[in-house]
Amino acid sequence: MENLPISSRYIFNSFLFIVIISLIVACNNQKNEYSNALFKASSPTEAPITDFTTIDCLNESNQKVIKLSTISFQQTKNPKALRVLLKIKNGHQKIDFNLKKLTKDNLIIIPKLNYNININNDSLRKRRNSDRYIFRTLDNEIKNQMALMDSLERTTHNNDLKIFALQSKRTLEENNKALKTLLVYQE
Amino acid sequence: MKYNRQKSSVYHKIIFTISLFILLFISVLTVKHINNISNSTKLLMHTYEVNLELEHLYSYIKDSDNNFRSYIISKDNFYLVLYQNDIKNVNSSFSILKELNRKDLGQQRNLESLYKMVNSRYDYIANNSNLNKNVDLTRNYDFKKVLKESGKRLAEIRIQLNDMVHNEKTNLKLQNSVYDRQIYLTPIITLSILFITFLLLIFTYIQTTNDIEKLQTTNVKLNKSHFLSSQAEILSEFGTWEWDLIDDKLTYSNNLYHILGVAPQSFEATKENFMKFVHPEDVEIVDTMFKKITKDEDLPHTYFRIIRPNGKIRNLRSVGKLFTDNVGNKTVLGVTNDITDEHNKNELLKSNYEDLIAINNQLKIFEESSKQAEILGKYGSWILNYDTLHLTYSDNRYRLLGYEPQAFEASIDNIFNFIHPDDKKAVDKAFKKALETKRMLSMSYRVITKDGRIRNFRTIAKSYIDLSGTHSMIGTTRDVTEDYNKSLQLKERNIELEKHVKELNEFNQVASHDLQEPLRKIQTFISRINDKEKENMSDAGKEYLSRIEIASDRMRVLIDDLLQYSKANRSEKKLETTDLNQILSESLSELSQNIEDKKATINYTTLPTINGIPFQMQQLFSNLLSNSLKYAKADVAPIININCVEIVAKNESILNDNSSKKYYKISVSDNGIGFEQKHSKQIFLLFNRLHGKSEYQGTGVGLAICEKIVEKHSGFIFATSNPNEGATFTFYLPVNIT
Repeated sequence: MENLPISSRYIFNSFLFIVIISLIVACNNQKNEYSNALFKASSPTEAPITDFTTIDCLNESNQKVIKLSTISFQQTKNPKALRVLLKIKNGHQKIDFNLKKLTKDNLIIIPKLNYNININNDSLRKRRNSDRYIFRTLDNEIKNQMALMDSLERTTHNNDLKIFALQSKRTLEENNKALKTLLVYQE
Repeated sequence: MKYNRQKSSVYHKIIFTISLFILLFISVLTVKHINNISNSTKLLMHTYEVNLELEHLYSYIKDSDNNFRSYIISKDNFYLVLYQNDIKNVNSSFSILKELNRKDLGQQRNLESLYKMVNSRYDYIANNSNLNKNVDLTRNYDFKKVLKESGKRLAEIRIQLNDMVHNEKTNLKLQNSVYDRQIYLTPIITLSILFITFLLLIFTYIQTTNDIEKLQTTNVKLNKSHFLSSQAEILSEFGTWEWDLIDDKLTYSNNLYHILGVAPQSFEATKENFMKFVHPEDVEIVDTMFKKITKDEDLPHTYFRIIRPNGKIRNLRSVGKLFTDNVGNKTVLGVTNDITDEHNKNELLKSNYEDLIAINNQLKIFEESSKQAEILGKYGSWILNYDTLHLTYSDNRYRLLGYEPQAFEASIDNIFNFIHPDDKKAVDKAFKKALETKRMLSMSYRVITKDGRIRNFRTIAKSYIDLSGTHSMIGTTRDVTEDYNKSLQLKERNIELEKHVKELNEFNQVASHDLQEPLRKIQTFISRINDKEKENMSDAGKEYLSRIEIASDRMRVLIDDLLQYSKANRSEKKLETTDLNQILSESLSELSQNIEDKKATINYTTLPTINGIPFQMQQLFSNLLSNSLKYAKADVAPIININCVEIVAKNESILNDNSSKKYYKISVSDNGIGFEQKHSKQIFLLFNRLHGKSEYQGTGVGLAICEKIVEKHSGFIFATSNPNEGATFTFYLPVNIT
């Protein structure tokens, strides 16, 4: 070593220095990891990636929209309204299908309940205003569903659900727009 | 310049590197084992969490089941809310389990299977339960069937959960067995690490202690070396300096300041400050020197002068060399030497060399003249080396033997070949004695020359040691044949002369005695004629008779003086202690009548006691005193002063003797008529007189007797005088007469 040129000695010393520093850093990192593992053992589990209440509400709202669009479709005679309602029903059935698929993939169980659509039967019986009544109810439900989609998009950590919320929102917006046109036409 | 490093430093680096790699290896192993332990713990925790969450799941399912049934029975929406919460909990559990089993595909499949079972059960219950119908559940067969089926499916869920728990346990067991195997050596490795670390610590401590001791020893040596260097600088009158080329910083040693004639560190070591000391005529040299150092990073010998603050000019010499240390710092290390003394010595040497050349020339001249002198003086020189007994002859030494110079090789044997057979023994003896005593006194011998002539040689030699320490004998041999022959003639003549002197003395004595007898008869008959026949004689006869009487009286005085002179000359030298004071008293007593008649005054000091012949000393004083009385001025009473002092010969120029021999200087001075100084030597000659017989009586023998007596006592006598100013007779007698 004595005969090494100065540059070689610099390299050798630098190498030693780097090895020592790397060793210290490596040990330090490993120690942190080790510590974290122990710490994790006593720490509470992480929060779930999805707000299941929102998904429940979303499912309920979607079921209601499908049901309302079915009732309205059966009741109305207006061809234009029929097309719109069919489109709404198809769109929401697709949303329902996607939601079920997503819940299945993410091991989420949705309660299978019969939801009350809160429709006044008397109002339905009055032919003259029944469409308008049901359209308004449907419009409210879609808006509600849009709000839920917004909430899901904001809160969820699951990318699939986030994409689902975004895509569904577009469908909902279109349906809502069409429904509004229909309402304007009714008035 | 080579940079020296201690070997231990290299060993330390090697040991350090090995230790580092050992520690690195051990650290990696340790990290791996810690990782295993951590993984094992994680796995345990994971299993615990999975099992716990599975139990939670089962519990939530059962809760939801209960709440659902309660709702069916009571139709109370409160239970429905609880049921929905339970479903959320079930979802949460599934979510957690999914996350926990993210890496376990088997458990994921089990979980999916479980989900399907749970979901299908909820679907079955939801599809087959008439939630809005008020029916008698106790009698409703479908309800019982659904209840039974849901219970059955719940049992299946339980089984599935148990499978998953079992799988988890199996995985845990499997992984733990692997980790157990891997961490089996952990305590051993940990102990090994501790042990190796401990050994390294001990080794490092020992090595460090050794190094510190070495360092301390080296430090002491360095201090000593530094001290010696400082002392050497002072003794050798040189100073050192360092010039850091990177920082452009100069450093002087203390002695360099001393050389510049100022106190150490009394000014900042810079080029500008140094230039202040440089002699104006050498500023350019020093400036070039600084530029050379900067450019070439080296400095050959450079000579220049400086002027010290006290005005003294000193000659300096600087030399420097580049030193690069192990980290690449470049420093020019230099030495500046005060060569003033050396310079002066060189100047002196030059001067001496010139003197030597001159002396050499003189020597050549001397050699040549010596050769010529040898030829003219008929002598030759030779040198004998005591150690090698090698003999060297001068050219003329060969010529003395009748040979041409360097005709043969001079040797001791050759000497004896030329020596006369009768003298060989004596020469051999003298030569051997000379070799022993390292000296050879004058030795005469005969040689037979090449042409067969016999020549007389005289040799004298002396030992000497030359500058190279060689002990030799240098000798001179002279051909003294002519001298020898002359000395033989001289000897013969001396013998003849001695014979003549003896005859003359005998004649003198005989003449003195024999002459007295006829003279006595003449005087007797003159006396009888005066008594009986004078009256009968004519006036002319009386006149003639008177003259015969005077002449006979004078002849008697002459014969007496001559007898005395002869006596002084002949008497044997028998010295005895003689008190000159007593001798002088006797002389004064002898001359008392004369002194009284002349009314003379005699002054004298105390005289010494010497080894001498008493009667001669009395005669000396008597003659000198009577001489002063005789030659006194007619109308002036004589005053005679006798003084005596002890002197050293070299202090008396008149003696012409540079030795330290001591003499009594006795002077007899008078106030008589004196004489001219030119006659001062003449008056001591026999029968010599400055005045006529009619003026002053005398025979001219007295002072001659005085000189003879003083010479007999190994002394000297001188006379100084001027006419009518008196005369002084000074005689010197040795303090110790032998």
